[in-house]
Formats: sequence, C-alpha cells, structure tokens
Amino acid sequence: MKRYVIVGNGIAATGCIEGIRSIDEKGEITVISKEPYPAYGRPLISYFMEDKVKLENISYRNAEYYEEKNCKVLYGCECTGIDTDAKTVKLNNGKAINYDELCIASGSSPFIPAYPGIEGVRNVYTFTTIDDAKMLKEAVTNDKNVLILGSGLIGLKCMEGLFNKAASITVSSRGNQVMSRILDKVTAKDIQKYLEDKGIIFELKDTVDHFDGNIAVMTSGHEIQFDILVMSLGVKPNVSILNGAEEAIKVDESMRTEFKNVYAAGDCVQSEDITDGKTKVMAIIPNAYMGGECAGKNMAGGNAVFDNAMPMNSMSLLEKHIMTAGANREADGVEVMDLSGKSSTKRLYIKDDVIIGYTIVDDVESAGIYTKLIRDRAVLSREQQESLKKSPTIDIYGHDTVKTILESAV
Amino acid sequence: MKKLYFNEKWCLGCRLCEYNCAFANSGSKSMVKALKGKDIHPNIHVEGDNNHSYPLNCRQCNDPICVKSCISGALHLEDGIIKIDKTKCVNCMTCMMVCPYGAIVLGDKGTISKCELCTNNQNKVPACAAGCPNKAIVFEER
Ligand SMILES: Cc1cc2nc3c(=O)[nH]c(=O)nc-3n(C[C@H](O)[C@H](O)[C@H](O)COP(=O)(O)OP(=O)(O)OC[C@H]3O[C@@H](n4cnc5c(N)ncnc54)[C@H](O)[C@@H]3O)c2cc1C
Repeated sequence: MKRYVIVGNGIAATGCIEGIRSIDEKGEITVISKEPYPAYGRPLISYFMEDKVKLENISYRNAEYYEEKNCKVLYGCECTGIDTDAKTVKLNNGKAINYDELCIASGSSPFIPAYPGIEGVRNVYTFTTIDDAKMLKEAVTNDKNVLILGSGLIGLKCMEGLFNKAASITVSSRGNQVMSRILDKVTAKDIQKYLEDKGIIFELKDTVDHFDGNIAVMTSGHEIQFDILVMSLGVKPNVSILNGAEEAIKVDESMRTEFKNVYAAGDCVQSEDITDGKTKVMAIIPNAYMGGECAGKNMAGGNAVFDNAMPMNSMSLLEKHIMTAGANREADGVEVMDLSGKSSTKRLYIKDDVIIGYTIVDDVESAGIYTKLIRDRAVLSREQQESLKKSPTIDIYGHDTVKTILESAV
Repeated sequence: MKKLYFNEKWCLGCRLCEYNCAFANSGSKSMVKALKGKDIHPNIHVEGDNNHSYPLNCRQCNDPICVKSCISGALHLEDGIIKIDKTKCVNCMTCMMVCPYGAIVLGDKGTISKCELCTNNQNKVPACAAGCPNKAIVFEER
C-alpha cells in the first residue's frame, strides 16, 4: 500500500486527495494541516465578514469528507522540513512521517514589510485566513478608522468585508492604480471611481515611511491616523520546508518538482502561463484544484498533465462584477477588440488570431466561451473573430463540435 | 445516467422550453402568475434563428471544470448531477467564467443558476423535455 503525504490542507490538497482517490482507493493518505480547520475556500472570509456565509458552511467539502476519502488529517500540525533523500517529512511535534509520494500544497502567507515603528502600532491584521477574519470582525466597529495597505484583490476584498462596518476605510498603495496585477489602467480607474463614490478613500502613489503609534507617516509627508491596520501587500509562497527554498517551487506539466516522488501544487508553485509564456505564480483556486488533482493522479501512478494554466479571476466588489483572464493588457502585436457598452466593459485581447485575454465588467454572461478559446489556444478565422462581436455562443466552435455538445455525453 | 440531449434538426426555436423551465423553477402553481409580464430567467436557452436553432443548458459534464473551479465548494456532483449548494454560493461567477458552453446563467435575483435536471423542483421529467412539442429535447441514457 502506497503512503501518500500532503503538506497543507487547502484547495490544492483537496484536488490532490481527489486525484489520488480517482486511481487508488486504498493507499494511506496523511494530510498535514497547520490550520485547525477542514479545507475552506479562502475567498469566503470576506463574505463571512459581511455575514453572507456562515462559519458552519465555510468548509469546501461536507462534514464526512475526510472519512469518506479515508484520509488522516493532522490538524494544527506543521511540517518543519522535508528530507527528500530519506523520504520523510518532519513535524513540529518532533515526529517524522515516511512517504512514498509527497505533495507540497502549502500555499502562501502574507508578506509583512519591516516598517520602522510597526512594533508600536496597535491592532495590526492580515487577511488570508478564517482566524484573521474572525479577529478583524471582532475588532471593527463603526467608530473605527481602517487603513488597508495594498490595493490588490485581497486588500479590496477586505475593504468589501469591512464596508459599512467602520467609520472610514482608506486603501493605500505604492502603485498608481488599484489591482495592478489583474486590471488595465483604464478599468482600474473606473473601479476606483466607483468605490470612491461609495465612500472609500484611496491614497495611491504613496507608501508608508514609518509609523508613529497609530499614525502612518507617508513618504509624501501626509499622515494617516487609523485605529485598525490591515496589511495586504502581497503574499509569499510557503516553501522554506523544501531545503530552505525562497522562491515558488518549479514544477513541470505533471506537477513534479525536481525531487523524486515530490510534487507540488497551488499558490506555492510557479508554472507556465499559456497566455504569455512566462513562468509565474498564478494564485487562484481553479489552478490550485486542477494542479493538485493532476499531482494526485500522478502520485497514484496515473499519467495526467496540467499544461494550460492561466491567471483568471471573477469577483464582485460592492455589486460591481469584474472578470479577467490571461494576458489582458495592450502590447506589441496585440489587437484589442473593444465591445464595451454604455455601462459595461468588455475588451478582448487577440494575438496572432488567438484570444489571449479579456477584461469584462458586468457584461459577464457566457464569458466561459472566451475562456475556453483562450485555454485551447484556438486559432480563429476572420469570420469567427467577427462573430465575437455578438454575444458569445458555442457556434464559434464549429458545427461538428456543436452537434457533439448537443447530442452526446461530454 | 439519463441526461438531456438536443436535436437541432427538430428544434423550431419556439422557446417553449425556456418558459417551461422558468415556470418549473418558479415554485409557483400558476404559469400566468409566474411568467406573465416578467423577465424570465430560465436555465435553458435557445440559440440561433428561425432556420437554425437549438436549446442548450448544463451538459452535466463527466469531468466538470465548473466544480473544479468553484471558490466556495458550492458546486458539487450528486449522482452525476452538478448541483449548487445555495448556503455556500457567494455569486462570484467563477463557474460562469469557466463553463465552455455558457450554460451557467444568472437567475431571478441575479444569482448563479443552472439546470439540475429538475431534481430541485416538483417535476419527475425535466420540464423542458416534457413540454417540447417536437421532441427536439429528450431525457434519456446515451
Ligand atoms: C481574501 C482572499 C480572496 C481571494 N479571492 C480569490 C478569488 O476570488 N478567486 C480565486 O480563484 N482565488 C482567490 N484567492 C486566492 C485563493 O484563495 C488561493 O489561490 C488558494 O487558496 C490557493 O490554494 P492552496 O491550496 O494552494 O493554498 P492555501 O489555501 O493557502 O492552503 C495552504 C494550507 O497549507 C497550510 N500550510 C502552510 N505551510 C504548512 C506547513 N509547513 N505544514 C502544514 N501546513 C502548512 C496553510 O496553513 C494553509 O492552510 C483569494 C485569496 C484571499 C486571501
């Protein structure tokens, strides 16, 4: 019987468990889970703050899941190191476990800069775990001023979670736009304006120089007084357990690392983005699940590949819906098809007759058809490109494919 | 398992399936009360025009990318049917972003909705198939 060990218990781990079990029903699976909870969708923490999801519904799978999958989960247990020669993982309780196949699914942790004076600040939070959200929810009251450092997805989702709960919310960022990893400048400006109209204060193009108690003294000299500070300045992969690594783990398309019998998936890995050919961390749930599932199948002797990862996000911010995928920026050789309406945005990015990315605000229905065309790197004829101007339908796949979709089990 | 299949040749594009679907999922006993004068939000949609049309809804994929992409765990497989657990769904629309068929739609309250083969309402046979005048929609094993 094979002994499988998974470090971490997030979505990549869930994919891994399901990948293993699709091939090997018997092997022994041990999951090392630093957090004391069953796997949960991390994005749900902002909805928990808003009371839109209850804690009892936050688990990714049902209550019997680990029993049904016959997995041993070591809750509150941390892996402190991996010996890839002896094939053991060390635990913080002094024990070690042997593995035949290992998957590192340890995700990422908030990056916290060492600002001068930070030790004198009261009420400092991060926003990536259930425990973070519980503490923040407890701390916030409508007489408190909140300062969020970082205007990425996590910072803005935290803003949404706190909306209407605080006296004021200020979001500060070094860059000159919000969500610079996801949005182009124009869309970012629109979103910023939308949020400003709802009362959110943005302090962009400025960074904290130092803290003086609960006052952030900015590089510009501007001072921001606050009661609650949230640090959402990006994340770093939890990879030091693998021989002291600092950068996200490199994996091939079967999710294998350079070490024998060691796989990795999720936020702790870097792999190729099919839309720009660059190797990077693509920290999203779909990639975590599909990478984990691929790793799990291969650990169990299967022959799976996950060779079409790309960044994509679908999120709402105070009722505005933003969907983005792939390489959605202007660049040399990239044609922008702008299908924006009066109150919605839709821009498709096309290179060498292949859609490589999009940005959509609000007009999101059937966007999955564009995503599929990106994923398949489908080369589109002039006529097909012309048809993109109407709302997307499966007709773009061609008549034979449409027939298969309608008439057979897919 | 039984799923819905469509025959493009026989589809008249009458959109009766859209009405039957919206009614079946309205929870109402009266079709008039449920549908008249309202914007309907069915889980099935007729695409195309007069001489070429077909209905389309969730294909209940065997290896569903929507379930694998769901950020909350709301989407799950139950006896081969892809279902939404409404207590978990936060309406992020990630499923809509990845469904290659455009078959996950916005329901009545602007929330995510999809065909669950009428297992979530009172019908025994999916209402779209039961009401199709030309058997362009069938519910069978293939
Ligand atoms: C607020 C917020 C909003 C988000 N919104 C979206 C969104 O809308 N869409 C989307 O696709 N993605 C979103 N994301 C990103 C998404 O949550 C991540 O991509 C996803 O959680 C990655 O899954 P993972 O399994 O790789 O890692 P994680 O979910 O981080 O899980 C890793 C687990 O491993 C544990 N661990 C780490 N080291 C060890 C160790 N040494 N021993 C034992 N256990 C360890 C960690 O404690 C953690 O529980 C969001 C994230 C946040 C924080």
